[in-house]
Amino acid sequence: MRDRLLPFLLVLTLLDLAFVQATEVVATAELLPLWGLTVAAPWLRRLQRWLWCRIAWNGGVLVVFALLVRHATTSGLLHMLEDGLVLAVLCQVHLLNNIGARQRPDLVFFNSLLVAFVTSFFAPDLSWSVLFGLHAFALVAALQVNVLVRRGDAVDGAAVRGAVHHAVGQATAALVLTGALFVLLPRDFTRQGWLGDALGDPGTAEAGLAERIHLDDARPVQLGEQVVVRIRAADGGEVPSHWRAIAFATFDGATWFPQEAGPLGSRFATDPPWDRQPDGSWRRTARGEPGGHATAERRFRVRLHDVRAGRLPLPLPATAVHPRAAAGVMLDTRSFGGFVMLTTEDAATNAFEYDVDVAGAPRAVAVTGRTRERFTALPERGVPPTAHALAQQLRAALPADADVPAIAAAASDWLQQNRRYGLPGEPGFARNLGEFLLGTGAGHCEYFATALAILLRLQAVPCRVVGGWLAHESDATDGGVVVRSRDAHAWVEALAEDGRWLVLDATPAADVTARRGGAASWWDASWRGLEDLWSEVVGFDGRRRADWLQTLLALPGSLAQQAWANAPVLAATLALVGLLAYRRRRRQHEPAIVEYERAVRAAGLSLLEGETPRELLRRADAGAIEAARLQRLHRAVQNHERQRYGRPASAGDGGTT
Amino acid sequence: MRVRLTELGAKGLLLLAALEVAFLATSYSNLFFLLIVFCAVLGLLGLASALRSLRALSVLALEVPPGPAHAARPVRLTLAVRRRTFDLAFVLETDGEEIPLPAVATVVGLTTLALDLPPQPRGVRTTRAVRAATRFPFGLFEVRRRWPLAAECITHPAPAPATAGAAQRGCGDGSSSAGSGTAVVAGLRPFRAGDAVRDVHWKATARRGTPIAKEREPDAGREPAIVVDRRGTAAELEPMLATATAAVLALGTATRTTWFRSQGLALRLAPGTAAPRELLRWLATATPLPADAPPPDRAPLPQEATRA
Repeated sequence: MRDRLLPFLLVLTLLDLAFVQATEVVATAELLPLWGLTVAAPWLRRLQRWLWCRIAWNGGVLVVFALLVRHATTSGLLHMLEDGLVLAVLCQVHLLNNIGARQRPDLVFFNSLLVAFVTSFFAPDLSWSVLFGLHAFALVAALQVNVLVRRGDAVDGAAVRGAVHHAVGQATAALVLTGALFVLLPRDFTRQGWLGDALGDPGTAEAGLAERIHLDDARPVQLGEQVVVRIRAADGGEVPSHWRAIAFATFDGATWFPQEAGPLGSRFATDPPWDRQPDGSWRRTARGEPGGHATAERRFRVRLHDVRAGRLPLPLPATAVHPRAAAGVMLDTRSFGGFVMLTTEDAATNAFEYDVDVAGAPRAVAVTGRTRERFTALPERGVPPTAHALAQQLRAALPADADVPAIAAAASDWLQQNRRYGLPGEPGFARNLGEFLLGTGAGHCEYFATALAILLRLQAVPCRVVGGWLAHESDATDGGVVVRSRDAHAWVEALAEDGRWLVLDATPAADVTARRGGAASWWDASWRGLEDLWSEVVGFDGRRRADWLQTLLALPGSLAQQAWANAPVLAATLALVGLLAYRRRRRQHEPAIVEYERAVRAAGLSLLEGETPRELLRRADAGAIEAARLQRLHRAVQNHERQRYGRPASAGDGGTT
Repeated sequence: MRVRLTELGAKGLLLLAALEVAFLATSYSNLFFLLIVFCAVLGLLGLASALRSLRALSVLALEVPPGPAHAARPVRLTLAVRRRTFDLAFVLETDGEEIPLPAVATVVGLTTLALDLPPQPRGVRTTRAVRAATRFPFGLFEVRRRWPLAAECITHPAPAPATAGAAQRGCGDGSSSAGSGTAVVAGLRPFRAGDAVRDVHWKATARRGTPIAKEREPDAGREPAIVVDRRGTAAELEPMLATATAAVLALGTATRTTWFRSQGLALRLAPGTAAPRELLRWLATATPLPADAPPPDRAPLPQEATRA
């Protein structure tokens, strides 16, 4: 009887293997035998009748288990995870091959759920979500068929098909309800958990903008997928890659502090000041710019998806900002040439749109000597000794009269070529800046930016670390670029002799973009669209929950408006839905007819014109039809007549239509 | 309706509790939360679906035909099912006992199910209610619903096979002194199971090499009787009842009126009719009497034809 259940358990096990495969933690070569044993389960399990086969199988499982445990306990944390996942799917394969009188399938269901749970931690990407959707349907169908076969009574194929059909509705309902509860249930998104507190687990940090850069923050970084900004060039051309949102001027050896001192236009000013225009836009001109030559400007349409982030991303050479639909949002300038956003409680929208005019090159500003000193200051403690040696080495390689761009480019190139990129929490990540400069550990963009800033300041080049967004991913929807939270980035701006700031990014660009991906083909674009949707789930937090609730609350009004505007379309849709519901209702009311038609088909007969069910039955009785199918046909005719006329067929009755 | 957690459901609940503990122990994770919600939703949906299934089900009628002891027989349940329902297990509730019926994989519409009643001992049980239970869809909960439906479950003695053939010929018990009819031999025919040994025509048998029996003229002048004398022990009564039951059940094909007599009972059984329910109930409940009890009453009978 379990034979009817076996295909469903087989699919479930294959999905478990796919879950593990998707994590990319386990090598494909290790999983291949398990794939093979799973696919071969319908044949292999027949061997379990013989004792020697059972002994060989169980012995093999025990040996593999022992090897995995030994490997896990001797090869470090990463391999422990790998071995754990292999063990989990090995259990599934073992159970699948032993389902029968001695082994009930309960454990397969539970283990399957556990595999989904565990892999969600290591592959929380779109592929996992697709697999989970399939898994939900497979699990529900398997559970339902299990209920039918569990009683041990004969279950025919029609009942199993009916259960599977029912399972589609149940699984859909379960997923929809789960989604609704996921959005609506209030919860603490920042909860650390008592185990983490007890063990001193630092938890994880999400990539994004921060008001300070803490280099000693060793928490693993999660690269979020949620869209932060969408940028489109008015002329359809390329979009600048570095969009700055905050600048850090002061470093104490472990932390970078933001450059906020002094209002724009003061003697400490480091960037051309912004002036508010009568039309509400902001424009800036270079103060003391030698020659004051104008360069061609390009315009970019920017949609900032989260105004509560509080910072307005702009390219360094931005010359004008034109806010659009700015209700509830107020801009305030900052000394580094950027803006902060102040939002009111009744801010109408969660997105803020603005146009940016960008010049070909940043404009120069007259910087005082005291300001220059501020941007070359280094703490007495906290600068690794390696940095001093490295700075001297780099400077010695340059001509004595090398200017700031040359010095900066040399240091940036050296770091790009000689230091590895990695994220906190990954194996081989540097434990501190000294290790990174020494080359014994990899570092992320904050390490590269800090290292470059230190190297430059040690060579008396004024510079600052800048935080913002790296815009590199094509946006298939409007031809611009899309910036996600994982694209948060840090780089360096160095002040040249002529008063212009230079953008220097020492982080190996290839590594960054390889990790952060980019859409190229329509397939990539479609996949990216789905990833956007999935990122809403993975990156769901209190703010998004509030947004969703707001959207849901506004939905009736919005729908009413749209319905009024599209009344003919709505009427046609309602008519179509009504027709479909009517047809479905009719089908539901006549299951006996449906079953009768199926029984006729199963018997290999076709209805003749004007032939009544009883006439057909007589024809079937006279023919050579398999007993089971003939019996089914008899039952179907009886049911049909009972449904339609309230009494079953009996011998001697005349034909009815 | 009553709800009960199944073994699978109990295991699932333990797993969910363990996952919840793990969730609370670690820092918040969206996917962890999502999966826990999915598991909880699956359980609640399963419960709601099972309740909905049984709410759509009505047991309209219960028919338990009399049947022999220690043999399965069909019980007819007439159901009205508004939507397709899966995995229905029915139980007959009797006085102090529950009789499970085989599970039905799926059912829909107005239908009558013929479910095998498990073999029962001789006796009469009164069914108080029919109970339906389902574990569908996920097997985590078992939901039960009860319909009070009274029915009498008569389990008469299993008919003695050796006498059934003789009884079918309409002449009562094969052990009777004149069970095959009159003494007038109408002809010869092949021997049938149940024919009395004294009716074997030995010469013809020897000649033809196959058993041949005498076919007697029907006894038109006498009304045979099945007499059960209950005086004696239970061990003596049971085979007597089995023989009598075989004869009674064969009355449907009888051509002559037959009497059934015992202590305190005298029934005239019309030919060609099924055994009356009253008589089957009596056979199901008959008990032995002490040896000094009066013999079966002869008063209404013109003559005794049979003594079982």
